[in-house]
Amino acid sequence: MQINLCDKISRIARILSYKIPLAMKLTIFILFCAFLQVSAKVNAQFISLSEKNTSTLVILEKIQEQSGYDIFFKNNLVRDVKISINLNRASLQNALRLVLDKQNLVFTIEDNIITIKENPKADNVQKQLIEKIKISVVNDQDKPLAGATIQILGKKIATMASGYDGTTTTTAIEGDTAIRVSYTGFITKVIKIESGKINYRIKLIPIEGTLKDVVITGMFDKPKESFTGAVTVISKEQIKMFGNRNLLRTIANIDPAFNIEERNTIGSNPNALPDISVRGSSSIPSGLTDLNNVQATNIRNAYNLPLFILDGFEVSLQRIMDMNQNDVESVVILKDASSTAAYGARGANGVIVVTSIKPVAGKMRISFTAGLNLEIPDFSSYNLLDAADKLKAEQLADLYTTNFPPSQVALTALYNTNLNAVQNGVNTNWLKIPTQTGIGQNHQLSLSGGDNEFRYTVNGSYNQVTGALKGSKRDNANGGITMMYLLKKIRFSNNLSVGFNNSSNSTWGSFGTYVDMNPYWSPYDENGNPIKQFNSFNGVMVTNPAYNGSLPDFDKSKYTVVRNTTAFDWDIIKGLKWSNSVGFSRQTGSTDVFQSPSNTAFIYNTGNAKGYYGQSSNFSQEYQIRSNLTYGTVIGKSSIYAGLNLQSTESKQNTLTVTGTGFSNDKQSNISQAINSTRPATTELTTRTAGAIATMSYNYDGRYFVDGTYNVTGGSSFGSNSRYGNFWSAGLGWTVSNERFIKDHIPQISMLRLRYNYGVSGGLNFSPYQSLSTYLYVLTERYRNLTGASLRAFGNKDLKWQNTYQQNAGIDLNLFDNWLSISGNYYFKTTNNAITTAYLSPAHGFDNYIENFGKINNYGADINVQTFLIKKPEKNFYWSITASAATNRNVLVRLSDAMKAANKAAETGNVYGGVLYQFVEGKSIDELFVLQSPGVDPATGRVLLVQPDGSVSTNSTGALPKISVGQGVPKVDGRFSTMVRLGQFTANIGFAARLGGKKVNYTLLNKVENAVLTRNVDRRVLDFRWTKPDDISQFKSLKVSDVTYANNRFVSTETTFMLNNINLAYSLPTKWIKRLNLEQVTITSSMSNIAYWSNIEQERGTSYPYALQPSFTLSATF
Amino acid sequence: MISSSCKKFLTIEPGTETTASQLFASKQGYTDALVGIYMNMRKNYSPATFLTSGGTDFMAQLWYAPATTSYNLTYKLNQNNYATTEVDDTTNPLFLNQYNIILNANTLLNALSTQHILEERLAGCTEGEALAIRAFAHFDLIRLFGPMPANPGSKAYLPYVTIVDRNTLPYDTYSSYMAKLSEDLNKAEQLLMKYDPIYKYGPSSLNTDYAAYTEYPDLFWYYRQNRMNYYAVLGLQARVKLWMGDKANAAKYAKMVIDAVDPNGAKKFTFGTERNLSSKNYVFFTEHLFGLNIENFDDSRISSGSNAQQFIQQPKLLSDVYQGERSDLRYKQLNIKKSPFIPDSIATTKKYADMLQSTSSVPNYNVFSVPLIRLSEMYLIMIECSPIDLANTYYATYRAAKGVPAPILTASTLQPTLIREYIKEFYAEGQVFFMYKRLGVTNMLWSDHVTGEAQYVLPLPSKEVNILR
Repeated sequence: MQINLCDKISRIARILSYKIPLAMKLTIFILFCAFLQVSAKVNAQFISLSEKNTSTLVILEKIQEQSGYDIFFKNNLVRDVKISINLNRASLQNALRLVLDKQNLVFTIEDNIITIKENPKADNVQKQLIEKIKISVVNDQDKPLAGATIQILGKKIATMASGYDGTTTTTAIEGDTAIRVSYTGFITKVIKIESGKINYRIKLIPIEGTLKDVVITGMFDKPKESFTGAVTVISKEQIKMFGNRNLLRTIANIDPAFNIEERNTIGSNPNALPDISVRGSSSIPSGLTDLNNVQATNIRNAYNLPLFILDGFEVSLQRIMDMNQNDVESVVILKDASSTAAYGARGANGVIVVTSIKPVAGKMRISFTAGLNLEIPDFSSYNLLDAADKLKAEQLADLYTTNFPPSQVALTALYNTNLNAVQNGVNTNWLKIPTQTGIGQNHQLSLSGGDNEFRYTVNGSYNQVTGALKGSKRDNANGGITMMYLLKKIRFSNNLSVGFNNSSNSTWGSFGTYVDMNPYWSPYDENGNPIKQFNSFNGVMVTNPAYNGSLPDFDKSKYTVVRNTTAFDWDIIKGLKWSNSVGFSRQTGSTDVFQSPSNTAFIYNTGNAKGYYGQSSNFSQEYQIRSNLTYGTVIGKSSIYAGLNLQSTESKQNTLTVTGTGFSNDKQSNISQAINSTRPATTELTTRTAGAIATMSYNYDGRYFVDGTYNVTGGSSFGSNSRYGNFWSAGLGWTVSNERFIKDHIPQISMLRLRYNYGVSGGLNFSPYQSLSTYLYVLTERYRNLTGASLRAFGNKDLKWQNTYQQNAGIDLNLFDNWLSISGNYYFKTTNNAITTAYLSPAHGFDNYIENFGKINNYGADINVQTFLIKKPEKNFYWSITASAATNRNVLVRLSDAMKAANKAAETGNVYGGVLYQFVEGKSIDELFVLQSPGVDPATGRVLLVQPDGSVSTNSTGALPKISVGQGVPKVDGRFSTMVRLGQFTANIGFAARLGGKKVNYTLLNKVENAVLTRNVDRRVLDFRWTKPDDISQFKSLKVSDVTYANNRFVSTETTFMLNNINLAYSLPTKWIKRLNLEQVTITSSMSNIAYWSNIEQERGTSYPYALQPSFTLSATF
Repeated sequence: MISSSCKKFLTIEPGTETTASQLFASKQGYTDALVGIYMNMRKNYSPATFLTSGGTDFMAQLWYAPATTSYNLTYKLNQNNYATTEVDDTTNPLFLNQYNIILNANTLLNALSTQHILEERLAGCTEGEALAIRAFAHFDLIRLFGPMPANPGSKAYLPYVTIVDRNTLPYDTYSSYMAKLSEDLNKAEQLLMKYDPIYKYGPSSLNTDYAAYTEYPDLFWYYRQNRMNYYAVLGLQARVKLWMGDKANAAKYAKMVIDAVDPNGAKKFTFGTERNLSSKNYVFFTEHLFGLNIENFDDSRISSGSNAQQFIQQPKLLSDVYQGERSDLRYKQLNIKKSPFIPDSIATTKKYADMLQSTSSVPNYNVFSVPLIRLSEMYLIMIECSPIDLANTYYATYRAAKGVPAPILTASTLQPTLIREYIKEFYAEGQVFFMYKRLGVTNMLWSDHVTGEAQYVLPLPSKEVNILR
């Protein structure tokens, strides 16, 4: 049960809306004034009064004044007779009885409210006049407020919530006096029940300055009506309905503009940090090391990571991933200049603002959640040969015959062994060996409550995810305490949160190594012990990856994070607010990797090099101080909002890494037991920023609006000649629907708003010390007893953040009384001083330095459509559909010579089993460059390739020309979801689609065309490869051993649909749970990564399998 | 005030590296920056690098590089055929390292020009050394990539870099380049004469691991022979003047070195002796005007040891260069052994043998100094630049020190004799090619081709050329 307390201010509203005699009004007004004065000593339980011949009403008023309680009664119920009374520290109850007993009245006290009624016993006349009344709650814009707390005063269990459409019905009996309606962020209102009136429409007025349709940008809460930016707001409810294993996936399930790059290798690895970008890639690798690694690693997206802000403070991607989703109130994705300009040099890649739940006043509310989650490995994309077919394929490829007779004996013996195994029924499904159904659980307990002055939330959660690959897991325990202390105009709040993370990676090795294993091999011998190696062709020994799974190896990480935010807000005068906050966060962690000397990785190592231990410890600490002054007011038809913010931040990171090799035996698993160890390696990074931000928005008559932001930020990582960066945005908009001609002639349009903005934000995506002229000491040598230091790099005092200029045009449209809402944006962004490595002539002493040189364009659009198919509030039946789509194109406009040279050097290279990424002016960062192959030569079964001179031949060596076949990213990335709510039951189904991107089918390339037949391969090897002359086949002969590199035959235009999530929720009917004193009980069941349909049939989850992720949760609030 | 505290807040000292401003905020920082330059020089002046035994010595035909190894860098160098990727791949890092030495010197000189914390003699000595290093590094660049000194022409060859700036560097003509170089040397000479302890004391008394003189309490002031000391600058002056054809001044500077005496009246620099060889001082440390200290060098696969890659056929070396004089001290500096590769006996030099501290014989007397300017060169300069009678006097002293009788030199035998002496003297020290270039010799000893300007002037490395284009 939950009862919200009256807000002091609410009394003004109450008086104004009362239709009661003047005297009464006056009385209550006086009561109110008195109340304000004594508000500091509320709940005084003793009354002292000495009155002679005083009006009863006045005495009641004094009781109210002393007690601090509100007194309610029906008109004319209390006769205004004059009485005398003398009380000295009497209890409230006694005082009231003394006054009311004479009039045969009774009272009830509940919380701070005293309700006076006629004594039912005294009057035996049945007055059970039952009235069915309907209460509908709306906000100041006449929009229904769902979930408002409605209470009939004087009834013990009479709290209810307004429904989806803001209405509820209840039965009022004679004697009920008033209805109280409260809703977070709005002024609580009390309405008197009038005899005969059955429809009550209650309009709640928002508490000034908070939550009045604002856009939370993490810096300022800007009025939405004057906001020109492009944002996606995700509510707590949406998070529940799209809930997934982690918050990042949940966000991606909702908004396609929040792009998690699909990485086929990592599958459902719970420990893998995803690569995320918002609105495309605007950075290129800046250092030469990264430039040279760009082919091999997935480094590109790391440069485009958006900024994550949790309750106003920057946090790591990892922290967001490990957050408990139940702790999140909302997530806002800021995409364009207008919304990110306030973040200045950090905002160019987009900003994700996460707000955690805040305590609300009321009786202590306890909520508990318990859940079970499963990770069931999904092998449906694998289509491998079984033992018999594998043997057949080997024979077809002539693996058991040789022209060299001495070897034939061994090959025949090998064949017989393998045949024997097949005949004895050995047909190992290697996919199952390292995998398991991971069973995890999650629990959460939260307590919150408090009153007008003090509110609190205490929560703790534990979330355990056990991965589908044996030994991989991620456990998070999070706890927090939030306290708010509110004085009249001042609010203190403190939020302390602690997180513990323990994770481990599987020591069973890459999933891919199991896929490769021949099914006629058995991983364990008769006694169940793992076999170390298998005999393969030509004397090759193949190690059994499962062998390592039996060893005491480990690969584990842990970290602890503590975060504290203290805020102080002061409402100086109406509309003017001063907010200050200090945030501090500190994280310490470590990673330990041990490979025992028996590990198959060391089979060929000498004794002293068997075994490995890598240990690294890390530490990071951030603090942020900020002061905010905001002012909002309405003058006539104009509304103005202005804000000023000053802030500074510091972030430090340290790591220490030590490795040891050589261990005596498997039991010695401490790094100190290593025979050799390396020099400890440390890294240290510190960055500081200081900045000031001013923002302003103006709205005229609800129709025309402009907004602007200016930010000046100083950053320690900028060159000393360009310490300060200026960032700004300006936007304008028009709420067409507020124009007369729309209101009068097209009432179907409930809202139509057009907006445009332009601005610049920056990217700080370079190593903080890149701009400095720094010296490195020579650590391992001396010069005749002396130490020496020399320059590390050519410092660039002018090095700047990179600027991203962005334009965004958007439209928001609501039609047919909000049955259909559409929101869309088109954007164009240019990063024209992208940080990159530039060449210097070697006579400078260094041949390269870091410079602002590159230019990258991104343009695209996103759209979101939501519609109701069914909306029947009376039956609590709703069916809605939401669809959204995003597209982004990207062009490298200008590159430095160093970049071009690095590209040139690699251009004709080929990556075995992969695609060589290139940076080419005029092309996209995501452009795919592949060889050209018209097909397989029907005569020889060899691959035909286009040669440098344009001819076609089967020659596969030398610098073969490449063509670009298009961008690897989808042309359209879409989400589609549908939600049905029927009574207590809610269901949500979410789909995703990727269309139009160019993808290489790696399974066809690596497991069919380049199939290594000595290992297990895709079944298509048997069916589709060239076998005899004149075969027109897609794939080369089984007998050809040349490597085929990625070429256009393996590139397809992707059409992929995914069923990402199904969430079902059922809330137990109130009447059942009330008996248990519960407020709400919800059972949810969800399933993630359910289905995947693609025209590119390839093995998915190559290093770590994908998993089906069902989960079941029970949550209760009481 | 706000802006200055803001500036302070936004200026960060990294933890694992040191910013230039932080480094030059302490006395130690200047020393470290200077010593860092010498350590940097190890990249280009260690044994077996291009400028000692691995590059110019092949170009001067000193090492065996047969046609069967035609795909090798050494063969290309031996053929003086520089338009190949092998040579370009070598000269690119050589060029870059050399200018990196210069950049580090310039950064230090910039810091010195504005400093207020060093005592005068420390500032003066540091500045003198940095200027001398700058001149030394530039000189080797112009000797390699610059013109024949007899006929330099007016072409701009290389930049003489004295600034730290990332804008395009202007190229100097030979004359302006050499003028700047001489200016640096003259200034270094003045500063070091005033502040270098070697001017007052003998070099050997300064070669200590402790502060031997109370007036010089810091180790900075010791091992002057491994630093660009006053006499190193004089030696370099002599070398530069000779290169520029200024024989009078070359002789003047060479004589100043030869005649230098310590407070006891003993010569500061003395010739290497046979006893040095038995104490493994194969590099004749007493001769070093400037030697680069190296800590650990494994020569076993390069010019000494059984797998030596740099060797010469012993019979032709003995007949053509030593003219049968096996008693020559420098002949005793050689290892003569059977080759696993060719029928002849081969000669390798022991100069850099036994410099690997971990595996060298114990006790290790090696002095770990790569000779870059030596007393013997001063004598050769005196001989070349003096009137014939005086030349014969110096030649007699010189030959006596080498343990062989001195034939009387005449105007016609002077140059062939000097060439032979240079070869004998500077095996694995990289100087012989420059001697040939200075003299414009068209028929190097043992060469199968004519050498002209195309063979003596190396093309600029491709990275430098491509950027300029």
